[in-house]
Amino acid sequence: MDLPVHSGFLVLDKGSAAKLGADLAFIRLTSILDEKIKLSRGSSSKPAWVSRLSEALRSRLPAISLYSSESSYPVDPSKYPPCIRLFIDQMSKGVNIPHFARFTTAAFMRQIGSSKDEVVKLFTSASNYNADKTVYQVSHIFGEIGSHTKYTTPGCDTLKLSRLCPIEGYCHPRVRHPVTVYQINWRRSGAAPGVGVEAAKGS
Amino acid sequence: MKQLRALEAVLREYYAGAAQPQEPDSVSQREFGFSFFDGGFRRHISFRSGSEFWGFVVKNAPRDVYFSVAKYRNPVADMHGKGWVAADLPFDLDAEQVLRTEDPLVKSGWLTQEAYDLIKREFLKLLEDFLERDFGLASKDYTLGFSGGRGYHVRVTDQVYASLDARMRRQIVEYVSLGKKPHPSQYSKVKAKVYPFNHAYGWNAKLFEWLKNAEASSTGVSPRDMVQRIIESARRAGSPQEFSVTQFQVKALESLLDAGVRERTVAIDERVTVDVNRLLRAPGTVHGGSGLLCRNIGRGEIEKFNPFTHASMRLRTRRKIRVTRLPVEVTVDGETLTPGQAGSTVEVNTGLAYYVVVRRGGEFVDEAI
Repeated sequence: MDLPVHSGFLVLDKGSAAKLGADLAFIRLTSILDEKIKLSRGSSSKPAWVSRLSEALRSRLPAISLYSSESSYPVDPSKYPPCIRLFIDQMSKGVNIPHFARFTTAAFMRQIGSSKDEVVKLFTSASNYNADKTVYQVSHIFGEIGSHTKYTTPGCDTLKLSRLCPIEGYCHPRVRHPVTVYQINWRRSGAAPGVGVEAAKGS
Repeated sequence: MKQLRALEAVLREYYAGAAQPQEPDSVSQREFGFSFFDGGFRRHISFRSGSEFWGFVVKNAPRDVYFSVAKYRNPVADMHGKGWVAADLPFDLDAEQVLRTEDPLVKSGWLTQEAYDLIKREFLKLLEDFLERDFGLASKDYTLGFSGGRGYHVRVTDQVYASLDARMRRQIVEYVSLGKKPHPSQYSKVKAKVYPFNHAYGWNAKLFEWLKNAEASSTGVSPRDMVQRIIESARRAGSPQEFSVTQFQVKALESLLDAGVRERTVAIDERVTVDVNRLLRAPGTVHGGSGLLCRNIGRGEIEKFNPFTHASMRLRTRRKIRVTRLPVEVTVDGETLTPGQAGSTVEVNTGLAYYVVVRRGGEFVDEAI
């Protein structure tokens, strides 16, 4: 958001106040969630059967994954649009990138066919990495919990408005969506993107 | 080598009699760095107290002394292990950028009083227009200083700014040095009139003020009569939001606003402000490349501040030098050397002698070494 500054304050009008309020509410809710996760870990002693069950499941996981239909799209970072490349690069260096950039990265990876584990792995090097919170949020984006909506990647214009697009103009003159940019990059390389890529919404 | 030893001897003389300057806050969390006359540079050094730091300076008489804008958990570790805690927000106004010049004289540090006055004008603009008016900072929130070399520093010490990362600091740099004019898509149109400003704050206020005071002939925008009408319209308007132009004047207005942005931006050194681990010269120490002091300046002192008087070492001793080349007139502590004196041997105050020799405008003669 591009807000006027005066005497150390941001000057808000009706529209910007609502948007900022929404962002702050999101940050507050996330911090409450964070606290709850911390408290639940510290205070409760899990019943023995939970541990037994999770142990049993874990031992079977490799076998299950053999039959999993979850497609693992061949990850080729050179075909990512510059925004996603930058976010991933910054996280790998431990830079604390904004929430919306993380959301964009996770939704993008989901749309191009990466598995949830692969996406979670991307966030492990982030400076404030919290395993429980990351799994929870990525699961949300994958539509496994909460509203069961599979979230899609925000469009280029939304990223520009949020000052997250690192380039002047657009990657492609007529394309306004990171996933479409990814598909075009594949096409230009001569290989088909395959079925793993979910169509970009709003592009 | 003899000349370098003579320069070092001057700094030893200065530090032996100088009072300990005010120490940086959280001194034990700062990283210190020093360069020496033998060409060596040492960093990742820390001190438990201001007096320990000053003891090191007096004993070693380094050529240059720096400390970090950042505070660390372990300042002596290498960059990966330091444990960054927070950092002051620094601004550096350097002659080369402020004067937007490639002049080799400026690059090599031969600055006239007039050049320093131009930099000071930009320094005041940064302070009044941006740090105070837009960011709401008061004198308790920053320290101001002369760098000892080619410009001025501001260190914003206010806690709100201390935790900003490099990306956020870059936004501040862009705000100050690139400016923000309203985009034509933000103009509102009522009947045949176009209103470019939708609020009266920040850059809108700066550009509106600039427009009202502009002279059509000096804006460099044409056609001149149209520019004049736009300026008159701004003068009639009571506030930025009331200012309007006609559809036909929009193009000229945009060019005018571009000129206004160029005029009201301040060319700060981006690398300094954005770098959260930067070492900045320590106030109270001598700039080894000039012999002038890097020193803090009070808010009320700026207008009258003259580096050649108020930042000199003020040593009472004198040195004999042979003047070889003097591109500009130099006055330190009221004593002047002029370009016409090239080729002569003169005895001058030690501060002036150091300034000329270190800038390769002369050399100490044997008696002084």
